[in-house]
Amino acid sequence: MKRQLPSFVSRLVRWHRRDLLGDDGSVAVELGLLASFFLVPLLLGIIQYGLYFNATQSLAAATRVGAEYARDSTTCQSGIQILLSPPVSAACNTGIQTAIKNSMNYPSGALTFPASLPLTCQCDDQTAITCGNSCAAASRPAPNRVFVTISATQTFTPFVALWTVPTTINGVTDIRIQ
Amino acid sequence: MTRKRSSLCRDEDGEVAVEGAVTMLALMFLILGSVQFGLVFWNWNTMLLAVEEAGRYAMLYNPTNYPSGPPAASCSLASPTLATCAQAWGNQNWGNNFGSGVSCTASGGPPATTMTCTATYTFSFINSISLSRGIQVPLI
Repeated sequence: MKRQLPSFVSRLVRWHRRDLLGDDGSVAVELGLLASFFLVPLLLGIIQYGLYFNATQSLAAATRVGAEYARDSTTCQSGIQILLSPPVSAACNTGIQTAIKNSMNYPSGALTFPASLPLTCQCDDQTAITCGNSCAAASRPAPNRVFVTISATQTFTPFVALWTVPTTINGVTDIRIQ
Repeated sequence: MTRKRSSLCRDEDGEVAVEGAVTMLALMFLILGSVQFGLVFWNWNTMLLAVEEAGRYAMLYNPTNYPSGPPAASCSLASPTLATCAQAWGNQNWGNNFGSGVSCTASGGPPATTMTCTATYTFSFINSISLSRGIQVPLI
């Protein structure tokens, strides 16, 4: 004689089989997968890049303020002399750094600066010459052009560590001072 | 009667149109949102340029090098001060389309040692967003 399962067991088995094999809720599951592996990371990436580009623009603007200080301030007008060593005086260097920091209210320690500001020199035909050498003496068109490179570096902390997002931002401005 | 209702419930004609309408609604919000963000970012950057121009003007015609105020050729105001001229310069170059434009305030001194320029703009497309950008420059 064939043994019968109790009726509630067979009902449970039938119910489960229908539930597991059916495709009810597959849309919800697909949406869940799509959201967690694609949509949410995409959204976070967009936000993160927005913040990154904003920080980049702000730092570039801040170095432009520093560059303008190097050209206009009386401290730097007397403090940048190509024949001195270092050619950019400590007072001028500090003034530039302070101007960059204050321009966008950067918190203290947020920016790092190069130890010295590099000068580059050209003659009037835009060819390079060693700073301190006279263009006229080298039979090249005068006057000498002197440029200073103002730069600052900021650490960017992404809120989700994605390998595509840079973690340092460099702001650089070259400005002609003579 | 009963048969008619149950066949209506099972009927799947027009499903694509209904789903399309629902998706279009979501898509529409996405597109309008993108346009709004685009306009906001454009204004955000323009405001930075406006305050930068104003700040650059203030640094260039700083009170140490120009003790009697900025040169008349650079500023057509009736009673020019460095702050109002810097403000006018920022507005003239970039900020004419801003509601309240650029505003500059000198502090320290005398002669003033710092100039702070701020641009504010309340932007309205889908909803109202208030944007503000500022810059602070040394005058010595």
